[in-house]
Amino acid sequence: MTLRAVSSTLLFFGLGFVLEHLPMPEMLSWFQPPWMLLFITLLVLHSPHWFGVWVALPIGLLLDVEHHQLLGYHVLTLTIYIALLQALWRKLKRFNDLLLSLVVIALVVVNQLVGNLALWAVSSDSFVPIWQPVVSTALIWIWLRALFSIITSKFSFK
Amino acid sequence: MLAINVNAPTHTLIVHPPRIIALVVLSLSLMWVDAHYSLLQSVRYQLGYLMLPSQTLGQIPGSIGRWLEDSGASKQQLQTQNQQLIARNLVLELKTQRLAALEAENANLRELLSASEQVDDRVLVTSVIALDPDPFSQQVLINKGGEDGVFIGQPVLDAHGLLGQVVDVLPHSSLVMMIADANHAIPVQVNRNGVRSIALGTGSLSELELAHVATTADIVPGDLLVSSGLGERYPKGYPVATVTSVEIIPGQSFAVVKAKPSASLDRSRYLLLVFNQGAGRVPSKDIWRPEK
Repeated sequence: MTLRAVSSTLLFFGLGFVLEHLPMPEMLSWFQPPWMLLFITLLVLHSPHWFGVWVALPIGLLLDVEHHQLLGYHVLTLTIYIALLQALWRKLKRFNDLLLSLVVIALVVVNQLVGNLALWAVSSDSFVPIWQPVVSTALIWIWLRALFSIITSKFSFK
Repeated sequence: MLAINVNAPTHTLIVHPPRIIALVVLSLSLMWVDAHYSLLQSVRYQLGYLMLPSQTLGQIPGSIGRWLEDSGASKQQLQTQNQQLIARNLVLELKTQRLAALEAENANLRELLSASEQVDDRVLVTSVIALDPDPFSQQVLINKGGEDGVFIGQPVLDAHGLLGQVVDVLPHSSLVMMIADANHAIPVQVNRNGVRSIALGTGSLSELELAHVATTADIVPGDLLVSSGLGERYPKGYPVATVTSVEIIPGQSFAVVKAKPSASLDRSRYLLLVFNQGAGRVPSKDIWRPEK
């Protein structure tokens, strides 16, 4: 990985954390998109050989702090999410936009379900919403992916 | 679209089951420890420093919005607001004078009773910077943290009554669980006659429910519920809610009592963190303070 790639990745993650912290209008606060999850999806789909499950540990811990969640919660959900993305990558690269979007939405559902299952197993009194992140993912994924494509092609990230 | 890099080398693309299993075991262990012990609280606190730049940047749009809102007010509006504040200040000063006399009288009475409780609470003003997006929890993020002396378990008030307690502390921000959260309960008593109960959060910002109130209990709509200080988490005597309805269902042992929180849970921007010295001292086993 070149210095440019490392700094771009750090910038990308930094932007993800800023967006995660960005307050939404009160009426829309339930539909805060899972920015970091979507950013990681873009990175894993673009460079699956670089962004493996190791990403889950540092980013997951920081997301736990950001969302005041039990430490380890996002490490678990991201590990399973990235592992699934990597396992499906060969098929996904042949999918068209619509199919890929549907798979990403399904994976977000799986991510939320895994999180709920883990919380139920460990603390039994917590719950994370399932459908709100799915709705926001469905709304922004296609635009985010298009923007990412423009950036990667314009700056020739490889 | 190029978002999927079709040229990515596939020979290195291997899902490593041992690595995944190790991370899953590690994360579940971390979650279990964090859920049952406060061992990881200091790790969380230190990681909070890493989040500081993104949190600061994330707050900028909100700050700009508030600044625009404030600076957009016309001179006429400001003058009206100023007059209202002057009038309100006079009323509050009058009340404070009466309160000071009552406080002195209370202290004398306590001295006579050899009671050790202190009535003066040190407070710190803070403001709400974000709401928890989770629709199933009623929590807010405030702009004071461990660096300001905030600790887990600390009571939080607004101008009208008890708002909640601190449940997570980072260096420069803290998470407050409001009394309306479905996981929250607070011991209360009726101000009129001292009948004790426990006010449970319902998940709705406008409603609390009293637990296990006997059908014969002397509680009527309009009664003010204040914190009883039992449980040693909240200070005693702060307004919590006003009873809105008492329903007695034939055949049921307990009445269904609903109350409206005194604090403006969905509107308050400025809050008070209470560093109470006496009544309502938080049990030390429930407190976590960052090490200085």
